[in-house]
Amino acid sequence: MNNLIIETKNLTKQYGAQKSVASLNIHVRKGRIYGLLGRNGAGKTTTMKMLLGLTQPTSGEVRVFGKNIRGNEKKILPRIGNLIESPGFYPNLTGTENLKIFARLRGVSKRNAVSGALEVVGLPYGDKKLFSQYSLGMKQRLAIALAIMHDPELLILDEPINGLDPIGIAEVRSFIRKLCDARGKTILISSHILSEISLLADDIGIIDHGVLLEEESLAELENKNSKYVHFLVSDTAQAARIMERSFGAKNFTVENDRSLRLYDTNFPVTALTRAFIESGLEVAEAHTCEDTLEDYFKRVTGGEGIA
Amino acid sequence: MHNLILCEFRKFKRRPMFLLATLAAFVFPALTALMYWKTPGGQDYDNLFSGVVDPGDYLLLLPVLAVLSTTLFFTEQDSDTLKNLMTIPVSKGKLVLAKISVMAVISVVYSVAGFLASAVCAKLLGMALINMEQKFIISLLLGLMMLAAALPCVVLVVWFNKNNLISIVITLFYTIINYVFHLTDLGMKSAVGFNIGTILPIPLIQKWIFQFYRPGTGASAVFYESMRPYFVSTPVCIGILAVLSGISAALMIRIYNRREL
Repeated sequence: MNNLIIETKNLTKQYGAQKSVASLNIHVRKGRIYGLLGRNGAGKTTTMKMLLGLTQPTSGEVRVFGKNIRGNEKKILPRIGNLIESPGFYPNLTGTENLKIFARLRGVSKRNAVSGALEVVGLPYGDKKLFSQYSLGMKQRLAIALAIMHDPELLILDEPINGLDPIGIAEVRSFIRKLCDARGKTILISSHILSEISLLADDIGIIDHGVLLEEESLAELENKNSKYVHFLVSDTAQAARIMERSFGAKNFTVENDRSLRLYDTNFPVTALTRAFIESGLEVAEAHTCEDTLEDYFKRVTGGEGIA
Repeated sequence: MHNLILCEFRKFKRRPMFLLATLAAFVFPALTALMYWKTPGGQDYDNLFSGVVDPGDYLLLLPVLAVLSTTLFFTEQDSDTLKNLMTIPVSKGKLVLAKISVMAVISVVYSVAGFLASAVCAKLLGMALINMEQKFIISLLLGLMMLAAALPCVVLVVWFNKNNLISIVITLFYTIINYVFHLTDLGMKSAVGFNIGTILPIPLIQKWIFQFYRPGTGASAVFYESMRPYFVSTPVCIGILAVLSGISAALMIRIYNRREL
């Protein structure tokens, strides 16, 4: 387990009586993209703030690069790039001027660090436009530029695609993927947009009401998703009788009077369909289905879906 | 630390605060010169200089510094940039000290600019420019002392965590209280000790600076002599204001540290 870049142990943050994050144990592996998935208010940002030492945990421990963040901020934080909540910059300065301030404070010695970071996110270097005149998408790009400017080993990005247009989202996604694959960066990314996490992350943590419900690789998660054969027939009661009596099927559910699901996908579906038709049933549909990640999310959070 | 201070100045780009603060230094020299122009005779450069320092520093620089501090100390809050600084990491203590340093520079620039403006006005009025070196050093020290005087007010502004009406009310109240007491016997005719004339910085500074003015003649000389027992020496004045600054800075750092993002 020594390839863990981030590890939390029973991390808890309590505001008054309310636990924003409860006994959270996440494990971010080196060179992987970890997607922290949860609804708005699930505790993603609070978790990230605690990882960066911006908020002190009520209890528990945060270990980054094998060290407790508390007391080691000067050693650990320069190795991290981050974007937390909304982009924060000085409104009276241009994007370049803003980055130059932070580059100076970070002690970035590389000459073209600012221009390079701006180029990566598709913003012009030396532009006269003030940050206050930026669109939401431009602000978000600038914040990503700030996060990568000092070439950190670890990126902690809180909802990085917020405000980006579809092309921007695709660009950022591909850029993040490239950072991980080509340059071996470790990336922790949070989102409430399930499709984004499923397209980008190698490992996924599902957080709900401050509790980490699942933590697995995307591949494991996909294997867990249940597959089934969906039948749309004229009479589900009769179809169920045929399945039980003629084929000995037990693992199925009747959804309503026209729809039923058979969870054994190795079952002879052709023979079953023929049996339905021969017994006078009308079969409108018979096909194999798989739960989406959203279905899985609904199931583990025990509630509604996610965007 | 010098990078932090430099960056604090860069944050002022396209904000006219720094320029306005310096220009404000010329308001009272110009007004005083205009007043002397209309009533010539009997006035010398010492009078003009003291006429500039009194309202220029006590009535204008103090609120200018306090208002400036709201811009400085709330920039990170208003721009949501504190999280960027904390994750560099920049310590909140150093950040507070950098902001105080910027205020110190502005205060000294204001004070010296006021001195230079008063010298130009005196020259235009045909006055002899006397004790210029001493006045320059007094102006430098006065700039730093005025910063120390403003810091307790800045603590309150930071503590209340507001950058609008409440900051202005606090600043006005603090300026008026200081100014009023420097005009009264209660504030001025008290030896150094636990009293209002020592705790409030403007009466203390006035008791220090007064010894450098010329006694004059007539009623002016009588008043000067009545003040002589209460003059505060330079080391004592600097010492008291240094303690005040230290306490104020420590409180500001504490308030900043306790604030969670």
